[in-house]
Parts: sequence; C-alpha cells; structure tokens
Amino acid sequence: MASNDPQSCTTCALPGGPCGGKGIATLKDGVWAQNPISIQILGICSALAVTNRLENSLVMGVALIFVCVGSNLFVSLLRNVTPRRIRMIAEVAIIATFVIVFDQILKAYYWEMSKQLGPYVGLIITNCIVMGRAEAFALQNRPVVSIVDGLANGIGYAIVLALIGFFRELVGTGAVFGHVVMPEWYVPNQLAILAPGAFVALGFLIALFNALSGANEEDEGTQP
Amino acid sequence: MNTALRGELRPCISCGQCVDVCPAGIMPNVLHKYIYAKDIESTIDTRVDLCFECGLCSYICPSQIDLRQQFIDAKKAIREELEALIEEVEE
Amino acid sequence: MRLVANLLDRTRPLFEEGRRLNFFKPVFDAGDAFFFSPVTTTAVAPHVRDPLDVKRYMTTVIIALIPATLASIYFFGLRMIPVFIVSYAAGGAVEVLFAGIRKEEINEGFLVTGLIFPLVLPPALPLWMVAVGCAFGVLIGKELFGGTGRNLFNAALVGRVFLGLAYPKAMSGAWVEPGTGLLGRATELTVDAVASATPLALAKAGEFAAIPDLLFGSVLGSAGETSAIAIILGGVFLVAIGVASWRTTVSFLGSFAVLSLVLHGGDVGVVSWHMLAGGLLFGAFFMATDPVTSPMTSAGKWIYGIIIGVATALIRNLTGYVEGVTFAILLGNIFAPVLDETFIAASVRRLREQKA
Repeated sequence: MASNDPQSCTTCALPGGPCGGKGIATLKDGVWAQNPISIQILGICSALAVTNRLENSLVMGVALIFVCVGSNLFVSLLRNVTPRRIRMIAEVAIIATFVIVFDQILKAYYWEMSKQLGPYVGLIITNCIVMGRAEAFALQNRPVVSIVDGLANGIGYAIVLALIGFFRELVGTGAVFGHVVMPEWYVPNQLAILAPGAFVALGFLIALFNALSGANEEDEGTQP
Repeated sequence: MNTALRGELRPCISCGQCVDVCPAGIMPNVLHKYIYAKDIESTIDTRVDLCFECGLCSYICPSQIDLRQQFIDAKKAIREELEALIEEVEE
Repeated sequence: MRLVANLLDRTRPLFEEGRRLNFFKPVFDAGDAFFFSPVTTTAVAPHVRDPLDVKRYMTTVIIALIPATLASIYFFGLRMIPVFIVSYAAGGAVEVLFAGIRKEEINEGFLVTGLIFPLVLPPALPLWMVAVGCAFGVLIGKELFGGTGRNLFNAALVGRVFLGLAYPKAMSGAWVEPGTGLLGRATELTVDAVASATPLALAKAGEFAAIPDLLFGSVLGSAGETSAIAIILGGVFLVAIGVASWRTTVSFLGSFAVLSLVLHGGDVGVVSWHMLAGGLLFGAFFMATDPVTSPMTSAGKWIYGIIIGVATALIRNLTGYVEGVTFAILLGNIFAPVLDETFIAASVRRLREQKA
C-alpha cells in the first residue's frame, strides 16, 4: 500500500495527491467490484431487517455512510499513534461515538423514523462493514483516501438496501415511499415484507449482481 | 425380452431400491453420489471394492443409471492411482 | 399412430443443435417419449432392465391420487379442473424453461407436483394465486437447488407455505361448503367461497365434527385432504406397491398418535378424531414419503417420520396454528440430509470392518 506515489492523481489531478492516486479505484471497489453486501455478503443482518420500506432503507443507508466515513477518517488519523494491541477497542470506541451521534440526531429530529428503525441504528456498532473497513483499510491508508473508501462502501451498502427496500415495499404493499402506485387489482404479497421475503429478495439480487459482474470476475482471474 | 432401455436416464431420486437389492451390502446410491462428485476418498471409504459387479443395482434402478459400470470405472481409477503411488514410492 | 410418428419424424430435425427450435428440444423429447417408447438400447451390462422407470414411478403416484382427486371434484365442484390445468401449466412452464436452459430432458417430477399442489390448497382460491404459488414452489423449492433429485424441500409444500404467508386472507377465506347427495357439486361450474372455520379450527373451540363426515370427506378443508377414505385407498396402494416408504408413514402416524395420546391425557376418541382431521393422512401418505426430500437410509426414515409426527402434534396442540402438517414436513425435510449423513457414517464404520 504505497501511499506516496509520485504519479499524478486520477481523482484530483495533483502530483502525489492526498489520496495517493487510488481515489477512483477505491470508489469503484466499494460501490461495485467489492460491494459489501452483494459481493462480500457482509452486514446482511441489518440489510434484511430494515428493508421492509424504502424510506427505512434509505435512512439506514445514510446512517451507514455517515458512520463509515467518520470512523474511517478518525481511525486513519490516529493510525500512527494507536498501539497495535488495543486498536480494536479504539476502533469500536470511534465507531460507537459516530453511531450514537447519528442515533441522537434521529431521536431529536425524526422521532417516528427512529422508532421504526428500533435497535438497528444502534446495532451499526457491530456492523461488520464498518469495523471491516476500519481494520482492513483505514489502518493502512491516509485520511483522504480512507474517507473515499468509507464513502464508497457506505454508498454500495445504501444502493443495495434501497433496491431491496424498493422491491419489498412495492411487492409487499404496492406502494413506493408510502404512496400506492400499483393498480387497484393488485393484491399485496405480504410475504415480501416478512423476513423470508427479505432472504428471497437478497438472494435474487446477489444472483443478478453476480450475473452482471460475471465478466469482471473472469478478468480478475487472468490478471497477475 | 429385449435390450431396449425402458425409459430415459434421470437423476437419482434416492428411492433406495439399489440398497435393498445389493447382495454385497453396500449403498450404491451413496456411492453414485460420491462418484458423481468425484470424491474418491469417500468412494473408497464407502467400500466400492466390495462390489462384485452383479449388476442388480443397474437392473433395478428406475432412473436407468448404469451403476455397475460406474463402479467398475471407479475401481479402475482407484487401482491406477494406487499403482502410480506405489511407483512413486519405489523410485 | 402412424400419423403421429410421421409428424414427429418430420419435425425432429428442427430441434437439433443449432436449429431455431433447439431451446424447446426437451418439449419435443417429452412428446416423443409420451407417444413411443425410446429407441435407445442398453450400452453396458446388464442388458435386461427392470421395466419400472421414473415415469412409471410418477404415474403410480398419480394413480394413487385419483381417488382424492375425484373426491375433490365431487365435493368442491368442476372448478377444480381448471385449477389442475392452471397448476400444471404454471409448474410446467418453469420446468420447460429450466430444461431448456440446462439442456436437460423434462423430468416427470412435475407431473406429481402439479397435481398434488392444488389438492393441498383451499378449493376456491383465485386461479392466478394457484399459478403464482406453483411457479414459486417449482422455482424456489426445486429448480434453484438443481432440479429433480436434488431439491431439499417438497416443491408443492414450498408453494403452499408461500401462498399461506403471502395471501393469508385469501387462503383462510377460500373454503367451500362440501357438496352432498349422489352427484355432490360435480355438476356445478362455479362455487361460492366461504370464510367459516375448518374442523380443526372448530376443535380448538371444543366443537368436533362427526367422524363419519371426516371419513367420507364432507367437511371444509383443502381440496384433496378432506376425504380420509379416498386418501387411505390411494395411500395404502402406494405403500403396498413400494413407491412410498411404509417406514415414513408408520413412524409419522405412530409418533403423532402416541404424543397426542399423552397430550390429551389418553383420550382415544379425541386422538382418533385428530388422526382423520386436516391434512395429516394426506401428508403422511403423499407428502412426507417423497423419496427425494426424505432420507434415503431406512433408519433415517424412521427418525424423519418421528420428527414430523412430533412436530405436527406439538404445533396442533400447543400453538396458535390449527394445522401443522405443512410446517412439520418442511421441518423434517431440513433434517433429512443430517439424518442421512449420520446413518451413512454409521454404515461406513460397519463396512470398514468388513474384509474385502
């Protein structure tokens, strides 16, 4: 992970830019090629639990972007002063701080939404995506590129959640954002808003993503 | 009586008739699945060597799987592998 | 017959590799095999084969289902016939699609699934729900696991659970008052759906339907599960002929009876009533005995039947559900591979000590 490459950066066009020339690649990895849910199958507990409505899914996505960016930034800033043996505790403390900040904002300004999401915002502390990015990326990289990584993974998570939430709400209640859009003869399929419906939807989504990125996988296989 | 195949080849449906008829007391359906999965170690463990090629399982199989032939081929493959191993050791 | 043979021979080249209709080759092969026995001969010894093939196997199940099917038409009207057709069409379409993609032949399994599925549904269910449920059951329950012979769950039951969870209101309000008299409802084209309680639901309130009605089948319930006599007639045939395993049926019904006796304080009358009510007999003879989704070892079949019987008795007596056969059999399906693994390992240990 050479972060002080002299080549000019593809993101900001500056020689030896602050992101070390890996901005775009990092962004692409997090959103698509290494998508935390559809490729790495991480954090699916919350992805299954809160996606019964599109609104909930989007708020959850925003929460994860916020926490992931914040924790990646601070873990990266402190990476040279954190003793190796207590780095996990330090990471958890940083993540928990951001989660609680977001939870309090939600409780203060969007009480209804906070009630709907229940314990799942608090449970972001244990979300393996956040911890995984802090451990695998932020500890070895400079702050700016760590922010990009947190943003990319958060967006990747949010996109998948929004897709699942959209389909489950549409099929399960015939509505989008609470507004009925399906024609009158449509009978809502209540399985979609139950837990098994989430598993089925996630399964089909992962299958779709794999089918779409099948060519990419083969390309990676041939590269040295 | 003729040699027509009565019905087409189908996947094993685990009916268990081959186990009932096998005079050697082995489990042809289980062996078939191991051979299908190319799991040679389990094939040896499940004692493919006890098969004496009577062909009753092939006769009875409703899915028309050539179990006897598969076991003959598997035993041959195992023998060849063992011989190759022995040669290696001798060298 | 010559006409059909000529037609098949003339169209055969259209389905060969590289031709336009190649995707539908499975359909052609199925039609070919339906009219004429295949012309292929044995390639390896033994050259004489048992005439019982998978097609005959499945046909036997269909024959065993005939009494229950006729009973459903007698009690719930001619509308059952379009239901059967829709179920076959939806399940068959998924089957053809996957056979085309995989370039395999169409398997006969869906002949049974397509008939069993409507028989475990409430008779007045809308036709599109039957189609959606059957397609879902065959797709998720069977094809995604690799098709016939590799499915973990009974496809018809997956479809039924799907409908039960997705459209609970429709599923509980689509019963039909059974017909009476010489012809029953077998002359009526349309039926009125009613939302009254089934015998099992009434039994929870302490009201028991008469046992002769349960035996004959003139009670509310899923289309094919009401008539105990018709089911026992077909089921005993199936078990006697060896297609369904008697071990599964006996251990299922036996463990259910024993546990119910305990739960009801030894009241034989109530327990024998429970044996005849609901889908218990249909499940024990036709659903749990599916060879693919039950264990293949004999010892495994005993335990499998006991798991289902115990689960059914517990669900029926101790939970809010009135009927538990569907969930119990699916639960048993989950245990089947584990049971097989255990008993095969035991057999392998026994075999290992044997001299070559």
